[in-house]
Amino acid sequence: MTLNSAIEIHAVNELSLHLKCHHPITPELAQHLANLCKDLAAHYPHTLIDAVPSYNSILLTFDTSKESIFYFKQHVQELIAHYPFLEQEQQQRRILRIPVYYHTDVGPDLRKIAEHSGLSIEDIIQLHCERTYTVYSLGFAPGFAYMGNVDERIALPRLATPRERVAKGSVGIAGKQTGIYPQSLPGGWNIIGQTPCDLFHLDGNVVVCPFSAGCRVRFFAINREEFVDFTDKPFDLENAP
Amino acid sequence: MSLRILKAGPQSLLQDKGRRTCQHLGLCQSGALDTHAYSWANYLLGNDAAAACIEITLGPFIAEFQATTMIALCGADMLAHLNDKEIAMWQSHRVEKGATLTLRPGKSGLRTYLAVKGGFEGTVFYHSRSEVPREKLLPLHIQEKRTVSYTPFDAHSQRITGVPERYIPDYLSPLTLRCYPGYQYSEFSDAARHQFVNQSFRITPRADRMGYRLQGDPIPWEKGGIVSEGIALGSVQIPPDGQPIVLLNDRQTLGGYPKIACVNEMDCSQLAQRRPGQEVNFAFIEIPDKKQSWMLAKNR
Repeated sequence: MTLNSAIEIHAVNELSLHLKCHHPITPELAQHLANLCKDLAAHYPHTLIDAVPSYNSILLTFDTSKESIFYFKQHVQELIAHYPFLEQEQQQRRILRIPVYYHTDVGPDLRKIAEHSGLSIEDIIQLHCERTYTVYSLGFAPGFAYMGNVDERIALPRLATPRERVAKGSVGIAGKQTGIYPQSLPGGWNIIGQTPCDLFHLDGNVVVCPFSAGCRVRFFAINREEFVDFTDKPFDLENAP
Repeated sequence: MSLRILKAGPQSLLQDKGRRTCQHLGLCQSGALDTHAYSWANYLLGNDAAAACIEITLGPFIAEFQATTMIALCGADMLAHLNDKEIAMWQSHRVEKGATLTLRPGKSGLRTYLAVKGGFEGTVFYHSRSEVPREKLLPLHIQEKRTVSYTPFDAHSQRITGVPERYIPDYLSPLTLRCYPGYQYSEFSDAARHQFVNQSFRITPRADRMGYRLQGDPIPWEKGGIVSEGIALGSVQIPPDGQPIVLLNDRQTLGGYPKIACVNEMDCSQLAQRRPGQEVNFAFIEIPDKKQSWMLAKNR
């Protein structure tokens, strides 16, 4: 089955189309959906208000003051029927490398994961660092990237009661997902460490955020001195050691 | 020149038609909750349809105009006074330099839109001046002792215009939220769908710009979590306790709870004027195959 025929399109209200992709959730799919979103944005420079990719779906919102949502539905349907998913070269996407200070001082749930999995804290760090993750979507809060998939051995469900405040930069695990709190927020993910990098801020009125759906991420461990040293300094995520 | 804010009430925000091209970053759409009242306020002044207004929730709101202009007030009746004189809602007014506008919580409705000729200035972020306090990204303008700018306008020869009676909603009237079946609708059981449309739900105090939590007989869902997906305006999410949440302009961009329906845009506007304790019910309709008119009440 090709992706072209795996995508089902429904109007969910008078403004939005929901594109549901009947396909396993894979890094390749994330890449395809990210590309499709970019091409749709270029195709409808004035009428596409938003395109939100997430795992195996895209939500498109249009300005329907001149054409009804069914006009856009038919248009998008035709576009997708002939969209060159297969010919698309899987661009070797850059890998962001993110330093993390893994320690019980900043990772209050490290011990719990150790107890739960029977692994040592060193093993947990190694398992978290040895995979290359894919960003499947951004949401929950500005710049919060949902990444997957973490090793099953350290995949722990969300806390039953979320914390009122999780520190900015905290690195967490929720099920098979991992993510970083871009600012201090309430949250229910299992926190295993903290990054000193600023991953979401405004430069004037422009958002500066290294993540986008489809991009790839690796973590590497740093010690306390490096953590203090890196804090709030500009950091080259693409050329980290 | 500017409007000096003397009292801002529990929540007063600059709002317009909302942001564009930012939800993929996790930034919410924002924008005026009641697009009907917001659009009329701008229309009465001949403003751009996307001009920024102040959305005043409940009040009390007191502000002083530092230059002559025209204003319009649409939305909840807030016993508006210009200096000591009571002024009408849903119409335009001439305002002298130094005049003070006072709004207080009235009997019905929640939000009033204050439009000024030419619109209020603000920080443009993703094509919009709408403010989202929760994001803590940009300074908020409508704060006590702050000012918000507008271009002075000589109002002396200007006609006063008003909204025709038939377009002025009654926020105490029973409200049926017309909604579209969508997202996981077909995966809900017949009993759940029946339960959804055959009862009234009460609006709980947990009702804000993100969404309205309702209370009623719970809507069952047996299938567990779903893969997180983008949430459209008006989506009716059913969390594990079975109590529906109608998601509005400041909703999070993604959600992992099943959605049984989407409330149409116009009825989201009406819902946003209802207070906790009021009741609403749902009715399914088909999505109209026509373009959206800003004068939404024409369809009503």
